[in-house]
Amino acid sequence: MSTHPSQRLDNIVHQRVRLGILAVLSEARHADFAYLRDTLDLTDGNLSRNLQVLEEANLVEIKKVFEGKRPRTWVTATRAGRAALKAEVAALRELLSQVDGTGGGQKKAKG
Amino acid sequence: MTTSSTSEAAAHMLDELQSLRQRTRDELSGSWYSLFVFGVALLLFAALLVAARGAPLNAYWPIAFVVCLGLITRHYRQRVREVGVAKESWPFRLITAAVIVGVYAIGALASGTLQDIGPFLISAAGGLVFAYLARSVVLAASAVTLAAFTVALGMADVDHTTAILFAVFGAASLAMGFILKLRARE
Repeated sequence: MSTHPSQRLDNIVHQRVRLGILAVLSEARHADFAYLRDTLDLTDGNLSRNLQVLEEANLVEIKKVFEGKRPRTWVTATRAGRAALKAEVAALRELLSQVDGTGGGQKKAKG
Repeated sequence: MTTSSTSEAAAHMLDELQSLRQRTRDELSGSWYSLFVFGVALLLFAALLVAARGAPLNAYWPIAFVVCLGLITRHYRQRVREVGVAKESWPFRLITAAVIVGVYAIGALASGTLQDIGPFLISAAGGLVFAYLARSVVLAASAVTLAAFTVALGMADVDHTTAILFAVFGAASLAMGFILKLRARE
Protein backbone atom coordinates (compact mmCIF):
# COMPACT_ATOMS: atom_id res chain seq x y z
CA MET A 1 0.00 0.00 0.00
CA SER A 2 1.49 3.37 -0.99
CA THR A 3 1.91 6.07 1.64
CA HIS A 4 -0.26 9.16 1.64
CA PRO A 5 1.64 12.09 0.05
CA SER A 6 1.40 14.07 3.30
CA GLN A 7 3.59 11.36 4.90
CA ARG A 8 6.32 12.22 2.40
CA LEU A 9 6.47 15.90 3.37
CA ASP A 10 9.84 16.45 5.01
CA ASN A 11 9.65 18.21 8.40
CA ILE A 12 12.83 20.19 7.77
CA VAL A 13 11.93 21.29 4.25
CA HIS A 14 8.18 21.68 4.74
CA GLN A 15 8.30 25.11 6.29
CA ARG A 16 7.45 28.28 4.38
CA VAL A 17 10.76 30.10 4.83
CA ARG A 18 12.98 27.08 4.26
CA LEU A 19 11.02 26.08 1.17
CA GLY A 20 11.36 29.65 -0.07
CA ILE A 21 15.14 29.59 0.45
CA LEU A 22 15.46 26.34 -1.49
CA ALA A 23 13.15 27.62 -4.25
CA VAL A 24 15.32 30.71 -4.79
CA LEU A 25 18.54 28.69 -4.66
CA SER A 26 17.19 26.07 -7.07
CA GLU A 27 17.23 28.73 -9.80
CA ALA A 28 20.70 30.05 -9.01
CA ARG A 29 24.28 28.89 -8.59
CA HIS A 30 24.35 30.84 -5.35
CA ALA A 31 22.70 33.80 -3.67
CA ASP A 32 23.96 36.09 -0.95
CA PHE A 33 22.44 36.58 2.47
CA ALA A 34 21.07 40.06 1.69
CA TYR A 35 19.40 38.87 -1.51
CA LEU A 36 17.65 36.00 0.31
CA ARG A 37 16.64 38.27 3.20
CA ASP A 38 15.13 40.91 0.88
CA THR A 39 13.50 38.48 -1.54
CA LEU A 40 11.87 36.49 1.23
CA ASP A 41 11.12 39.59 3.32
CA LEU A 42 12.79 38.27 6.48
CA THR A 43 14.80 39.68 9.33
CA ASP A 44 18.51 38.80 9.61
CA GLY A 45 17.84 36.63 12.67
CA ASN A 46 14.99 34.71 11.11
CA LEU A 47 16.98 33.98 7.95
CA SER A 48 20.05 32.96 9.98
CA ARG A 49 18.07 30.48 12.06
CA ASN A 50 16.48 28.86 9.01
CA LEU A 51 19.78 28.73 7.12
CA GLN A 52 21.36 27.03 10.10
CA VAL A 53 18.66 24.34 10.08
CA LEU A 54 19.16 23.76 6.35
CA GLU A 55 22.95 23.70 6.72
CA GLU A 56 22.79 21.17 9.56
CA ALA A 57 20.64 18.95 7.32
CA ASN A 58 23.22 19.33 4.51
CA LEU A 59 20.66 20.97 2.25
CA VAL A 60 22.64 24.20 1.78
CA GLU A 61 26.28 25.24 1.95
CA ILE A 62 27.24 28.57 3.45
CA LYS A 63 30.47 30.36 2.55
CA LYS A 64 31.63 33.55 4.21
CA VAL A 65 34.07 35.53 2.09
CA PHE A 66 35.55 39.01 1.86
CA GLU A 67 35.03 40.89 -1.39
CA GLY A 68 37.45 43.76 -1.05
CA LYS A 69 36.83 44.91 2.51
CA ARG A 70 33.20 43.87 2.47
CA PRO A 71 32.15 40.59 4.13
CA ARG A 72 29.68 38.56 2.14
CA THR A 73 27.79 35.33 2.86
CA TRP A 74 27.03 33.16 -0.16
CA VAL A 75 24.50 30.36 0.11
CA THR A 76 24.33 27.41 -2.31
CA ALA A 77 21.78 24.59 -2.46
CA THR A 78 23.49 21.20 -2.27
CA ARG A 79 22.47 18.33 -4.50
CA ALA A 80 20.47 16.96 -1.56
CA GLY A 81 18.80 20.37 -1.13
CA ARG A 82 17.71 20.49 -4.76
CA ALA A 83 16.43 16.90 -4.54
CA ALA A 84 14.56 17.68 -1.31
CA LEU A 85 12.79 20.65 -2.93
CA LYS A 86 11.86 18.53 -5.93
CA ALA A 87 10.46 15.79 -3.68
CA GLU A 88 8.52 18.31 -1.60
CA VAL A 89 6.96 19.94 -4.67
CA ALA A 90 6.04 16.51 -6.06
CA ALA A 91 4.44 15.53 -2.75
CA LEU A 92 2.45 18.79 -2.63
CA ARG A 93 1.26 18.31 -6.20
CA GLU A 94 0.23 14.73 -5.47
CA LEU A 95 -1.57 15.85 -2.36
CA LEU A 96 -3.48 18.40 -4.39
CA SER A 97 -4.39 15.96 -7.13
CA GLN A 98 -5.60 13.40 -4.56
CA VAL A 99 -7.75 15.97 -2.82
CA ASP A 100 -9.13 17.18 -6.14
CA GLY A 101 -9.82 13.62 -7.24
CA THR A 102 -11.71 12.59 -4.09
CA GLY A 103 -13.17 15.68 -2.47
CA GLY A 104 -16.53 16.80 -3.77
CA GLY A 105 -16.77 20.55 -4.25
CA GLN A 106 -13.06 21.06 -3.61
CA LYS A 107 -11.23 24.04 -4.97
CA LYS A 108 -9.43 23.31 -8.24
CA ALA A 109 -5.65 23.08 -7.96
CA LYS A 110 -3.65 25.91 -9.43
CA GLY A 111 -0.39 25.41 -11.39
CA MET B 1 -7.09 20.60 9.31
CA THR B 2 -9.90 19.84 6.83
CA THR B 3 -9.25 18.33 3.40
CA SER B 4 -10.29 21.61 1.82
CA SER B 5 -7.91 23.73 3.87
CA THR B 6 -5.05 21.24 3.29
CA SER B 7 -5.68 21.52 -0.42
CA GLU B 8 -5.76 25.31 -0.26
CA ALA B 9 -2.57 25.45 1.80
CA ALA B 10 -0.77 23.16 -0.65
CA ALA B 11 -1.98 25.17 -3.65
CA HIS B 12 -0.95 28.42 -1.97
CA MET B 13 2.50 27.01 -1.14
CA LEU B 14 3.03 25.84 -4.73
CA ASP B 15 1.97 29.24 -6.07
CA GLU B 16 4.34 31.00 -3.72
CA LEU B 17 7.24 28.75 -4.71
CA GLN B 18 6.52 29.25 -8.40
CA SER B 19 6.46 33.01 -7.98
CA LEU B 20 9.76 32.99 -6.03
CA ARG B 21 11.43 30.90 -8.71
CA GLN B 22 10.10 33.17 -11.45
CA ARG B 23 11.28 36.27 -9.60
CA THR B 24 14.80 34.83 -9.24
CA ARG B 25 14.80 33.79 -12.91
CA ASP B 26 13.80 37.34 -13.90
CA GLU B 27 16.51 38.77 -11.69
CA LEU B 28 19.06 36.51 -13.35
CA SER B 29 17.95 37.14 -16.88
CA GLY B 30 20.72 39.18 -18.43
CA SER B 31 20.49 37.82 -21.97
CA TRP B 32 19.74 41.32 -23.24
CA TYR B 33 23.35 42.42 -22.76
CA SER B 34 24.81 39.45 -24.70
CA LEU B 35 22.31 40.08 -27.50
CA PHE B 36 23.24 43.76 -27.61
CA VAL B 37 26.98 43.07 -27.76
CA PHE B 38 26.73 40.36 -30.42
CA GLY B 39 24.18 42.43 -32.35
CA VAL B 40 26.64 45.31 -32.63
CA ALA B 41 29.45 42.93 -33.68
CA LEU B 42 27.24 41.33 -36.37
CA LEU B 43 26.07 44.67 -37.78
CA LEU B 44 29.63 46.00 -37.82
CA PHE B 45 30.77 42.92 -39.73
CA ALA B 46 27.93 43.30 -42.26
CA ALA B 47 29.02 46.91 -42.87
CA LEU B 48 32.67 45.84 -43.18
CA LEU B 49 31.74 43.08 -45.66
CA VAL B 50 30.09 45.65 -47.92
CA ALA B 51 32.91 48.18 -47.51
CA ALA B 52 35.72 45.64 -47.97
CA ARG B 53 34.40 44.51 -51.40
CA GLY B 54 35.89 41.04 -51.19
CA ALA B 55 39.03 41.91 -49.19
CA PRO B 56 39.71 39.26 -46.48
CA LEU B 57 38.34 39.92 -43.00
CA ASN B 58 39.73 36.76 -41.40
CA ALA B 59 40.92 38.46 -38.22
CA TYR B 60 37.54 40.05 -37.44
CA TRP B 61 35.70 37.20 -35.68
CA PRO B 62 38.55 35.85 -33.53
CA ILE B 63 39.06 39.39 -32.20
CA ALA B 64 35.32 40.14 -31.99
CA PHE B 65 34.62 36.92 -30.03
CA VAL B 66 37.32 37.71 -27.48
CA VAL B 67 36.09 41.30 -27.08
CA CYS B 68 32.39 40.27 -26.88
CA LEU B 69 33.00 37.46 -24.38
CA GLY B 70 35.23 39.74 -22.29
CA LEU B 71 32.54 42.44 -22.17
CA ILE B 72 29.80 39.92 -21.33
CA THR B 73 31.85 38.26 -18.57
CA ARG B 74 32.67 41.65 -17.02
CA HIS B 75 29.00 42.68 -17.16
CA TYR B 76 27.80 39.47 -15.43
CA ARG B 77 30.46 39.63 -12.70
CA GLN B 78 29.51 43.21 -11.94
CA ARG B 79 25.82 42.28 -11.88
CA VAL B 80 26.40 39.37 -9.51
CA ARG B 81 28.22 41.73 -7.12
CA GLU B 82 25.39 44.28 -7.30
CA VAL B 83 22.35 41.99 -7.18
CA GLY B 84 23.74 39.23 -4.96
CA VAL B 85 22.60 36.25 -6.98
CA ALA B 86 24.43 34.30 -9.67
CA LYS B 87 23.24 31.75 -12.15
CA GLU B 88 24.99 28.59 -13.27
CA SER B 89 27.05 29.80 -16.22
CA TRP B 90 28.55 26.56 -17.58
CA PRO B 91 25.55 25.67 -19.83
CA PHE B 92 25.83 29.08 -21.52
CA ARG B 93 29.61 28.72 -21.95
CA LEU B 94 29.17 25.22 -23.36
CA ILE B 95 26.58 26.34 -25.92
CA THR B 96 28.69 29.35 -26.94
CA ALA B 97 31.73 27.09 -27.47
CA ALA B 98 29.61 24.57 -29.43
CA VAL B 99 28.23 27.33 -31.68
CA ILE B 100 31.72 28.74 -32.36
CA VAL B 101 33.13 25.29 -33.21
CA GLY B 102 30.04 24.44 -35.30
CA VAL B 103 30.17 27.71 -37.25
CA TYR B 104 33.85 27.28 -38.12
CA ALA B 105 33.45 23.56 -38.90
CA ILE B 106 30.53 24.02 -41.29
CA GLY B 107 32.26 27.00 -42.89
CA ALA B 108 35.32 24.85 -43.55
CA LEU B 109 33.66 21.55 -44.49
CA ALA B 110 30.50 22.52 -46.41
CA SER B 111 30.28 23.89 -49.91
CA GLY B 112 27.84 25.93 -52.03
CA THR B 113 24.73 27.35 -50.39
CA LEU B 114 25.24 25.33 -47.22
CA GLN B 115 28.62 27.02 -46.73
CA ASP B 116 26.85 30.40 -46.86
CA ILE B 117 23.83 29.65 -44.70
CA GLY B 118 25.16 26.79 -42.49
CA PRO B 119 26.88 29.03 -39.92
CA PHE B 120 23.68 31.08 -39.56
CA LEU B 121 21.56 27.97 -39.08
CA ILE B 122 23.95 26.80 -36.36
CA SER B 123 23.76 30.23 -34.69
CA ALA B 124 19.94 30.08 -34.83
CA ALA B 125 20.02 26.58 -33.29
CA GLY B 126 22.31 27.94 -30.55
CA GLY B 127 19.79 30.75 -30.02
CA LEU B 128 17.05 28.17 -29.57
CA VAL B 129 19.03 26.37 -26.86
CA PHE B 130 19.72 29.73 -25.15
CA ALA B 131 15.99 30.44 -25.30
CA TYR B 132 15.28 27.13 -23.58
CA LEU B 133 17.87 27.81 -20.87
CA ALA B 134 16.49 31.31 -20.30
CA ARG B 135 12.88 29.99 -20.58
CA SER B 136 12.23 32.80 -23.08
CA VAL B 137 9.45 32.38 -25.63
CA VAL B 138 10.45 35.65 -27.34
CA LEU B 139 14.00 34.38 -27.91
CA ALA B 140 12.75 31.00 -29.16
CA ALA B 141 10.35 32.61 -31.64
CA SER B 142 13.12 34.90 -32.86
CA ALA B 143 15.56 31.97 -33.36
CA VAL B 144 12.97 29.96 -35.36
CA THR B 145 12.08 32.99 -37.50
CA LEU B 146 15.76 33.67 -38.23
CA ALA B 147 16.34 30.02 -39.19
CA ALA B 148 13.33 30.09 -41.55
CA PHE B 149 14.52 33.37 -43.07
CA THR B 150 18.01 31.91 -43.57
CA VAL B 151 16.68 28.85 -45.39
CA ALA B 152 14.36 31.01 -47.55
CA LEU B 153 17.22 33.34 -48.49
CA GLY B 154 19.49 30.38 -49.27
CA MET B 155 16.85 28.89 -51.57
CA ALA B 156 16.17 32.23 -53.27
CA ASP B 157 19.86 32.39 -54.26
CA VAL B 158 20.17 36.19 -54.10
CA ASP B 159 23.40 38.23 -54.27
CA HIS B 160 25.18 39.21 -51.07
CA THR B 161 23.44 36.46 -49.05
CA THR B 162 26.14 36.52 -46.36
CA ALA B 163 26.08 40.30 -45.86
CA ILE B 164 22.26 40.30 -45.73
CA LEU B 165 22.25 37.49 -43.15
CA PHE B 166 24.84 39.22 -40.97
CA ALA B 167 22.78 42.42 -41.10
CA VAL B 168 19.48 40.65 -40.35
CA PHE B 169 20.96 38.56 -37.50
CA GLY B 170 22.61 41.70 -36.09
CA ALA B 171 19.43 43.77 -36.28
CA ALA B 172 17.34 40.93 -34.79
CA SER B 173 19.85 40.46 -32.00
CA LEU B 174 19.78 44.18 -31.14
CA ALA B 175 15.97 44.25 -31.30
CA MET B 176 15.68 41.20 -29.03
CA GLY B 177 18.17 42.70 -26.59
CA PHE B 178 16.13 45.90 -26.52
CA ILE B 179 12.84 44.03 -25.95
CA LEU B 180 14.32 41.87 -23.16
CA LYS B 181 15.85 44.93 -21.50
CA LEU B 182 12.50 46.71 -21.56
CA ARG B 183 10.76 43.64 -20.12
CA ALA B 184 13.39 43.32 -17.40
CA ARG B 185 12.66 46.91 -16.29
CA GLU B 186 8.89 46.33 -16.02
